[in-house]
Amino acid sequence: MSIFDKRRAAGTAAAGLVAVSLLLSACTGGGSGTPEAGSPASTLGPPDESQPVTINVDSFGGIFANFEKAGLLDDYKKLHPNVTVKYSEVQQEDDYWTSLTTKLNSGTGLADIQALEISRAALVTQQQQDKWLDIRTTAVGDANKYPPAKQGAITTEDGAVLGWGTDAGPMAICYRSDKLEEAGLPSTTEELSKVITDWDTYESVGKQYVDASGEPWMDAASGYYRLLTSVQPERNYNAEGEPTYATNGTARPSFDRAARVGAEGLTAKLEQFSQPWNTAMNTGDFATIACPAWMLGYIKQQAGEENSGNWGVLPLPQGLGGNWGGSYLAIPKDSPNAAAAAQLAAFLTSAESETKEFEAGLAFPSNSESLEQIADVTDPYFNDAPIGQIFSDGFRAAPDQPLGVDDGAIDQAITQQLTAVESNNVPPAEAWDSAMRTLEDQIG
Amino acid sequence: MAVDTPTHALTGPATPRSRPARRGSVGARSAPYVFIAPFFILFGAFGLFPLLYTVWLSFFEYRLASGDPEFIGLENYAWLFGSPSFYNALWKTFTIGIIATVPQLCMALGLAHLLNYNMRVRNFFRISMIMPYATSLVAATLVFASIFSNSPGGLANVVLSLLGMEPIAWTAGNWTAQIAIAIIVTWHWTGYNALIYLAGMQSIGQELYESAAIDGANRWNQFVNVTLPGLRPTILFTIILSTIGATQLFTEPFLFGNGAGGGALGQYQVVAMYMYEMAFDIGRLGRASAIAVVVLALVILLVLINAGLASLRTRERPLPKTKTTTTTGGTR
Repeated sequence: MSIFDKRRAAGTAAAGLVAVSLLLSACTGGGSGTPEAGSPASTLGPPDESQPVTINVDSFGGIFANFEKAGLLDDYKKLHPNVTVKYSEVQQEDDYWTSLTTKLNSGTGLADIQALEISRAALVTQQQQDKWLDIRTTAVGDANKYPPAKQGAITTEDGAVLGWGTDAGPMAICYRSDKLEEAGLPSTTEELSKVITDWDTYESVGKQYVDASGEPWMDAASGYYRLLTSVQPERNYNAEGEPTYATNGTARPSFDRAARVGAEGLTAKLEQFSQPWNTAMNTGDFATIACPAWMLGYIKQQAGEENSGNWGVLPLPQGLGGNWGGSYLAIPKDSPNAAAAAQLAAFLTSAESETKEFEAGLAFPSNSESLEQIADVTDPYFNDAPIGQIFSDGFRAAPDQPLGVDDGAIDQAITQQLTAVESNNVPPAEAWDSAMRTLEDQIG
Repeated sequence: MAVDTPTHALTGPATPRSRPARRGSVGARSAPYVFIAPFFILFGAFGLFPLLYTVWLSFFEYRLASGDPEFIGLENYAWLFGSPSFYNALWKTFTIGIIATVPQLCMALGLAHLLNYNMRVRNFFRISMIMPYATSLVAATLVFASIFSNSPGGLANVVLSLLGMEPIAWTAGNWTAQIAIAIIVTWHWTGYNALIYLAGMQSIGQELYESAAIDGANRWNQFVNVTLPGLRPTILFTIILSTIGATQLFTEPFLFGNGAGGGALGQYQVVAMYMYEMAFDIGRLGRASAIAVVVLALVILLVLINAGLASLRTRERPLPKTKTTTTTGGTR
């Protein structure tokens, strides 16, 4: 799943440039006088506001850069002058995760706040539950409320909640309105939602587009697979945590549908997050794309100012909702500044903060209250699409999919075979068998 | 620790003459060790320890993100030798290695031979040989990746269309992807090997060429009968280096596509990428370690075979051919 993880990484609105404070968070211990690291099971008191404290943060994908851009870190400094926040951020979640797990293994070098991506949540809640602070035990507690999908993913079997939700990736479909118009097809959200009423009509409109323009309808079969599986109650694992991808009603049917679309030539055969894919967003080599909320920022960046107004956002047909990506803030159990860090994390993920961030054109919120506040946000780049409405509806409709430890590997093996169908003309059934063999080999 | 030791070392050499200076003689005796210590300390920390730790880890189930190593004996190896992906990766390593190394060394040899003649602005040509090697491999690979882009607008496809051929989806095809990667490797290393050959050629006496010329040998004959035998040790050296390089090939295929999968069918997933994928995408360090150990064994085996073959040939050659031509190569 390396491919997706790279950018699934949080609503990275301004993906390219990441302000990185070059402060490495190694050696946080340092004997800062705060004594509250003590009694493990008891609840954590509020932090001592009279002592100066430095909170180190390790993060990825622009999460904290976005907080800073939205002015939230400055706001916090005004409220709590004794607190200094130092964050260091890498762009790719992959690299971040590798270094985080190495630090967890060795037990040194962890920051006071660590960001966690939702695709890692199953692993964190199942195998690392003793390494992270249960936020219910902090003074701020779990006052911030999240929809079930967001909250469920970071809750352990015993009910411990290991992080505060930052952003989310509710699904929609983004389309090139100018290309659709050229092809003589409906080109506004209103018209499109009349003709695209389910997946079949999404594909048949696609065929019309391909016939009219000679260009592909969507970017990649793997993106379509992502979209199709995101709306189902179960993806790779069932609620008991057993892998069911080989037999359940989601993976294989979605694979077959996406593979057929790929074999029929509706896709541009691009690998998502590759350079040609980026370029194609600008040149309009495909007309539609599965579009989690953070993809808007990605599109803006890749398609550029010259395409402002050329893109539109279409809600999923039939009021369906799905989610792809999103992150959490978590606190390592041994953090000497846990109390102060908890206060900061709760502030940054509060409804007001997340709303402010979304209104600044940055990450999409995951806080339930914030979802109520953003309903009338629109985006001029996307033809003034009511993105607040579309994405919060989509987010509420998203099923609470059980996640699993090997989700990443499973998704990668399957989507890789979709590419094989698209680009190497492998028959879909053979490709599926080959994905199952790979998985048996890798995680079996 | 090594910082204050040089003072002992400096006093060392002066003392041996005056007998009673016990401390001095200890210093003198330890001086060489102190001098080589930095290398061995670094080697121990970043070379030997990781090597041993990898071997140790290959007997354990150890996940990147969680838990403690759990001893499972030879299970990782049993898994590895039953893994079709591993054999695929080995085969790709071999094929890419061949199509990258063989043309590369032949071209390097030819170029070195040409550069060895007196010509105008010879130094310019010699220096420009090394430019690809001095270029950042990552930057070069990314440029090549866009040259071999799947779209009809990629440079390689534009050239093909000028030749009246259909554009190729370079990364998608089995051989096209491997050839593209081999071209990157060849581009990067040819000049480097040419310079090594050139250095080897300059140690071949000029009089051999002169006498060959007097005997009526043209340049080709000179190349075959004077240069090649004289270069045999150098050629052996570059073959061994290239073998090791081919086995460890990683950057080019890794950056050529998108991640460690090496294409949808693993069409260019070499063994180092498979190891990386196992360790960092799938997070199974024990299995990745087993791959590393097997690759190490393979490298050693390949080098031994290469060296064995080459020494067999050098031992055979001098007898029938005699004359001065082979002595330079044969005796070394």
